[in-house]
Amino acid sequence: MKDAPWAPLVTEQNLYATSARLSGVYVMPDGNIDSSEIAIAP
Amino acid sequence: MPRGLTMFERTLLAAGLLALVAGPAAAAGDPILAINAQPETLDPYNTNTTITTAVTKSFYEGLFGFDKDLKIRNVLAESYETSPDGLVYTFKLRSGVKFHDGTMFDAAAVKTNFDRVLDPENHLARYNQFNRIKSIEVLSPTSLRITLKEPFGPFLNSLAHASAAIISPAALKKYGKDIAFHPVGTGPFTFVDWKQTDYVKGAKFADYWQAGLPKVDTVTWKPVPENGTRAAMLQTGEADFAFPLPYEQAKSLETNKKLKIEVHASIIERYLSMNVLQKPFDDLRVRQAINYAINKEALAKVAFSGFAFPAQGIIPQGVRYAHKMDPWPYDPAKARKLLQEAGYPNGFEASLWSAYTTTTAQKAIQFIQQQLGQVGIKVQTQALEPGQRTEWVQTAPDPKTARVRLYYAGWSSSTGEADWGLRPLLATEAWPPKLNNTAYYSNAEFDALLSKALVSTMTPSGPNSTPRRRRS
Repeated sequence: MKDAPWAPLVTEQNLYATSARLSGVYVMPDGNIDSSEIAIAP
Repeated sequence: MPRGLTMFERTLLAAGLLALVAGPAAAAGDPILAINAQPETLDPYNTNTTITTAVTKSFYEGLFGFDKDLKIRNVLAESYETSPDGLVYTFKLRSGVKFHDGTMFDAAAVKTNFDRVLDPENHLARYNQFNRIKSIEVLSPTSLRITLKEPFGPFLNSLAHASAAIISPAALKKYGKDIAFHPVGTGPFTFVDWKQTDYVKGAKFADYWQAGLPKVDTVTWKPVPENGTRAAMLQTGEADFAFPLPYEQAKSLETNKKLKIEVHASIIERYLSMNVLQKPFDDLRVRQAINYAINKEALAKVAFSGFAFPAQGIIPQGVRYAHKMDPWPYDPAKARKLLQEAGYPNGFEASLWSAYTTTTAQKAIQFIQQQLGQVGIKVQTQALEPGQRTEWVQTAPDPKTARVRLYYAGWSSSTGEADWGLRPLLATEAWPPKLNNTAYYSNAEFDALLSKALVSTMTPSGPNSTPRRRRS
């Protein structure tokens, strides 16, 4: 961008973790989190 | 999972909430999700923070949503039609859906919400996302017509964004602006409590319209700004989910068999904005010098442990219509030369603020401080707390007196297309306090091209995501 109002730096990766008992939660490419089907194994 | 009371649980005990998080029921269905920042509001229309809308989605839904790949899916809208000129959208709404307060979801509720965000007197942060709407008409309880001022290619993407949530009109009337503290939607969880720096808690909504959901009794979002603490909570079982994880701990966490580690591509870009209204950043050569002075490859390794790569333009690949650009090369000698030409042979002093307090952000601004120092630019760093960020940056009333100079921040086009990756950050209309153009950049040619692109409903190869046909 010629006017350079920014210094674009980096694009990062989404790194997350869940406990083994958790399912139904994921991080979307924009960093939002979908937890609508969140579940816990008994 | 047997364990003693944690600090978090002791806090809840004091608040009389332990019954909701401890005991056998807790082990069966009370997950705790650790995130890196506290929501600044629970009003989805009054935030530009992605993590805030991750929390509000527990309580709220919109007409549409996004799937894992940011493709649009129907939620409270069953189907829609668009007119051939791309101006009129007619929606068929789901029936039999209740808000948490017992109010029935209908077309009037949708109109109430969009009328609210479109009223400039309400000063809602998402105003610009909806301001192409000309009128909203209730045709029946399950039918709604929205007419736009001009064609707007990303309109459905805007409606699928988490901010386009439908709030109970009865709750809006009851709480007014305080709806920010009392979310009442149609989502899978009803609001229980919000201790601002500690947690947001929701409980299963018994009348939720999607059969079989939610599958847990409660959900608790816990802001944990410190990376190591967030990861430690996973290790000890105090949290069932943590995002983001400290990149430097990825390998050690992978050895824990009780955890599942996930790494996925993102459309999150980190950038440094420069306030072009203020010296010395009003000089293009200074801004170019700063671009040349920062080694982005090294930044990706140092602050992100390699879980990042140099930005490929203003908008990351993966966003619809993103244009790939070569990164600025690392060339400190050229940076020094440009500073000399600009009249700063000995550099200058400036402030560098971070929009976040996470340890990754702290590492990033420290690295940038070191890099700029090598070309003579001495910066004082400060990681802003959410309240400071809001007051000093996002709601600064007068561009001339705004204190922001160098600002480390991040953005993802959470509508999945280029408009929301450009307009909120670089359009003249997006100067704070309206949106996030923290560079106070203004270029008439850029604004005109953006306006021209927005009214296009065509992709280079054909019609885009506003098909002129019924979709269900």
